[in-house]
Amino acid sequence: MVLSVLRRMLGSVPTLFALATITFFVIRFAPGGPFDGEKKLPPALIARMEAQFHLNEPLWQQYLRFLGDVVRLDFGQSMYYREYTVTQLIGHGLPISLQIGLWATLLYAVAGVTLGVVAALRRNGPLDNLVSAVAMGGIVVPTFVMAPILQIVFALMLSLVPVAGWDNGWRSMVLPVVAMALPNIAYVARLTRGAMIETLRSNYIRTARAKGVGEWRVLTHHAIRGAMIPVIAYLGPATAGLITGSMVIETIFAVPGIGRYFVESAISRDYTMVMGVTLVYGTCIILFNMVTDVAQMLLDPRSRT
Amino acid sequence: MTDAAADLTAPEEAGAEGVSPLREALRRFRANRAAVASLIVLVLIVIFCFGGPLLYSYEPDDANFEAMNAPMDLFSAYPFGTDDLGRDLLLRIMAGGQVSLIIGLVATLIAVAIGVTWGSVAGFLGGVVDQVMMRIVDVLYGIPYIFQVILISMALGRGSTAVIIAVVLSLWLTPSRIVRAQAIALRHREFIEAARAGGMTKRQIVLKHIIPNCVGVVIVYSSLLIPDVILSESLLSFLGLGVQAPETSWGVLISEGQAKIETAPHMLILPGLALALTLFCMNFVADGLRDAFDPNER
Repeated sequence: MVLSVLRRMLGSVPTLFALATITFFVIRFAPGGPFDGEKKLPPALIARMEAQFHLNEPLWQQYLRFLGDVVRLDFGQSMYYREYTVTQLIGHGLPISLQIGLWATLLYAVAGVTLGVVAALRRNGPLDNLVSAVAMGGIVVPTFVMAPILQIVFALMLSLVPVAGWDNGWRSMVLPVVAMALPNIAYVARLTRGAMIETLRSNYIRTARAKGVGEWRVLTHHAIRGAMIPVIAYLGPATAGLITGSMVIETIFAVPGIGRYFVESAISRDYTMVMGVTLVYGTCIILFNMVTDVAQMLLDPRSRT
Repeated sequence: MTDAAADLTAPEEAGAEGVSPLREALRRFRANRAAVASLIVLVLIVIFCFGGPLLYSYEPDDANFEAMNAPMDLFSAYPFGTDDLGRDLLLRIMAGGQVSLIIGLVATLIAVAIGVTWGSVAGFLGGVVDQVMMRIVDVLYGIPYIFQVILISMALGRGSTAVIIAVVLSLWLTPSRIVRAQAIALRHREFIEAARAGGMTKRQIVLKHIIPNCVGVVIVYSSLLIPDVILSESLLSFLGLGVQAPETSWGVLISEGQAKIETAPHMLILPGLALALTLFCMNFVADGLRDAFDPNER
């Protein structure tokens, strides 16, 4: 058990290394550079900045320097927001992104499981069909269509929450969290429904009922636990989805998190910022996949090898 | 599945009474009403996107400065209205659909072709070759998909070719794993043994036996992949990293509409609806294909 966790951790090292290397070379070969913005800068200034960021050195030297810096967790100055370091910018954006991500996770887990269990208990009834239809809608309508529609309905028409921005406390968090959670609610509801139907048919549930355990207790103590396994397995990929989502959501709702920084820095060719955000996000995804796997091994003896 | 699929190599030889697995799968697909209905809607969408523009005397990016920001009016010359350059939204939805659909299809075909070749070679040869080939896949697999796509599309510049390459480079991994698993399962079967004993070369065995036996799995997987690709393309275009003007796609239109939600929400909702309807139907067709090719999987 401990051994397989260790093996997973070692296995993620080459992936992170490949991610860093590919990112490093890809952005440097990308057309355009960090200093050709809208305003034409004088060549002398560009030369000075290139020297400051060591962009005038040969590529292999830059690469070795970069690897050394990463090992010391130093990502350098941002090339676009030049008065800040990448670490400062990430330190500012990451808590905001995490806040939205955690609330969205909580929301989709609770809402998805509830809907799924209700649908499974009322199988093929009108409530079940309604949940299935809504779930299908949540899956096929992409976040970047759903989010603006939420803006139209809840901000422009009903004026319940602000359209975008991040200065209205919890109110500015409502739409981003909901928009991010919606597709996941749909997936979790479908997963839970399927797993729940399967579990309710299994022998140990029949045994529990035969022993005279009450229906409510069968549900909360026996069935839901069994039905949770596929849902927990979904948390890993869902986190990767949340990170993708954060780029879209933060762009649409003008939230100053690192998802928006990533898109902006990719467009403005902010080399150091792209590297920093990629590595932070990549590490988060790999770590979370690992946590999910361990949780699954603890909960489901069948998946231990 | 593998037993039945073995006959796929020679459907004509199945005889008058015997039904080939492919035909059997088609029959099961036809019995699935939701899937057939979705397929019909999809065909209509394709006709709409590719046939519709033929009825127009002007191009999707022709601006008409006489009719800028025309509102939605189903009985006017511009039934869906126009944008701030006076371009017809209905025509642009058709043109954008062409780009989105073509990218979805082409990228999926290339990704699946690369994945099938990679996976079948690795699975059939085994040993060190397999180890090395699959290690590469494992490492690339760990890299989050969205970073691959964004980084590659950054490197290649913008436009639909760049989007296709970016998506292909990220998506060939899963089919290669699926096909490798299938190839390993096949490698020790009697008919491969027989082929080898009969003097077929490794190359011939891969081409004639391994790949055809993966057809069912690959069709099902590809049908699941196309909507994913279309979604990725729209996402990239929405973020400003994908298809660029004068080319348009549903993602571009949605992003243009998003900028105008306060004054003209239909410019977001209509292309969004086109995209959602297409994805919806594609999901149903993919489900239908999965049930048809793999009835035990249900």
